[in-house]
Amino acid sequence: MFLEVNNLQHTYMPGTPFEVHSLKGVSFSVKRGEFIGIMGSTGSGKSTLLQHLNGLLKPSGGEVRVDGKPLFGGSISLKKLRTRVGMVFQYPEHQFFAETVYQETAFGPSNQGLPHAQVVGRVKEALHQVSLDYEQIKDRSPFQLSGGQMRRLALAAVLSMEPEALILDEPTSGLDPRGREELLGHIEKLHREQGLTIIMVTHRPSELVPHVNRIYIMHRGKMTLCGIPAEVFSRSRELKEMGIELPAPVHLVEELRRRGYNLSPGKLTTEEVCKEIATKVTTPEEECE
Amino acid sequence: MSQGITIGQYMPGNTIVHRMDPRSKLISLLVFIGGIFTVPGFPGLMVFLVLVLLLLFFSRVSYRQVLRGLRPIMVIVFLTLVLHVFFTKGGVVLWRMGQFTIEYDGVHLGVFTALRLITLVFYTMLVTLTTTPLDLTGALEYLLKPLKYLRIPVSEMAVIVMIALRFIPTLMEESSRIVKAQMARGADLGGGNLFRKARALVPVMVPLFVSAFRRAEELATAMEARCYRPGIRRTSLRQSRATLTDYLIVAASCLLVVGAVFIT
Repeated sequence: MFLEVNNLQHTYMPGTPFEVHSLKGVSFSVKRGEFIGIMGSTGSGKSTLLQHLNGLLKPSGGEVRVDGKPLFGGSISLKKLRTRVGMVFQYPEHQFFAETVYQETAFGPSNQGLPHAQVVGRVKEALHQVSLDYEQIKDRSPFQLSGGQMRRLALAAVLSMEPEALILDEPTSGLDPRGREELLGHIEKLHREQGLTIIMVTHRPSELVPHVNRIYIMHRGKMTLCGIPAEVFSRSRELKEMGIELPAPVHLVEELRRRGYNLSPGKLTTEEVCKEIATKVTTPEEECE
Repeated sequence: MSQGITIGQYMPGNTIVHRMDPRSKLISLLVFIGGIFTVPGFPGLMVFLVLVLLLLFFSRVSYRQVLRGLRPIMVIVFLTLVLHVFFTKGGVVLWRMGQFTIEYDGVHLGVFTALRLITLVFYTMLVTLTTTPLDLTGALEYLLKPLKYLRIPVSEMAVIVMIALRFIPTLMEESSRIVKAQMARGADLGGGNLFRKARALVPVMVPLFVSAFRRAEELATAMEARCYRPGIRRTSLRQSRATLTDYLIVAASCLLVVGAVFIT
């Protein structure tokens, strides 16, 4: 098991009137090379959970293990771990600080203490992975890029450390549909071609459906549902109660079924649902006869 | 995440001290500060100290918070104590080593001044821990109103202070997020000599300033969109009303201060 979380608990500001129990005993595990989706309404503890996975937060109870070794009190160097488990925060472009795209991307690998030549190689490779042209962009200011480019640069700035896993906290928020599409394409490619383990938090179920192995649903500091997308999204009533939206195609099929159309549930993508509807609905010509 | 709390930060509660009108709280505070500085001897100071300890107890603020607030001023307290003990002369000689003496007046004055400072901090802590910054600036604005006739823009200054206070927690949260994000990229914050430490701060300070300016810009736009114009009469959402209790408390504090100054 690559990442293991056992009965994880986290309390913010314990012992004050501001005390918040953000995680109340969360357990889950991720195998190498898996693509995991996490969903949950605001304040369900998703971001807190993510920050435990690379040791940015220390658990108040329970533990996190990487390759079987506990993160705290064990032999793991947190600094090294953070380069193995790359983390892309929400609005990652808000952390830009360097004068050039090159410096921004080189920050991670330089911190790893790599020699200059290797850092350059890493930067080239990382920018290439997110379809940014190294020669064209390396001397520009990161603050001058477009929104979508900034987001991809932020992703490259983490990829340049060559992590084994990528943790993404709502990577597409604030992007336009095209920027979203592009970024998701890159993430999916990293998973498929490089075998990166991916853990992604999102509010948009449609971003998870085609790619993920499993979806976890969080609600008020607990994992409430878990399974393959088809299983999870079949529990529409529970999801609604927890404030989680269904993928649009699932919602459509459900509405149609309620109105008496004989459609089979369990179809998740627009294509599948289109096909299902096309085969089940009688054509106007047939009706005329 | 206990670093999320700043010294003297408001702690919600529902006691008499919390419910008092912030203006009368502020006036009483000023009266007590005046009293603490004029009271000439121990008996009067003890009255103030006992009173503030009782009030702190009744307002149910956590004693840990109060002690934390005391910490930064401890250096000054210690310094005055030491300086008085060694350099103020007079009274019975308590200890002698060659030319060097510690005399009664020195010890007396040292302890007195130290206690005076601590009492002062207790009173201010009592007010800041039980009053929201918003109420506090509101009260300050009210009390400074007469300065308007001197063409001092009191309301605008109050708005500036309010905004600054409002954004302290936001910026603290932001900086902790940026620190985490850079740590996730392998940044080594702290550690090394002064030069290295300063250099390590660049990846934190630059994004923090960028975001502060972005927020300022957004806030300015939002305020303009709601027709904010400086120098215009404005009513406020929360009108603080002074009740009879408030007047009584202010009167009582005045009497107490006069009494305490006279008994010593």
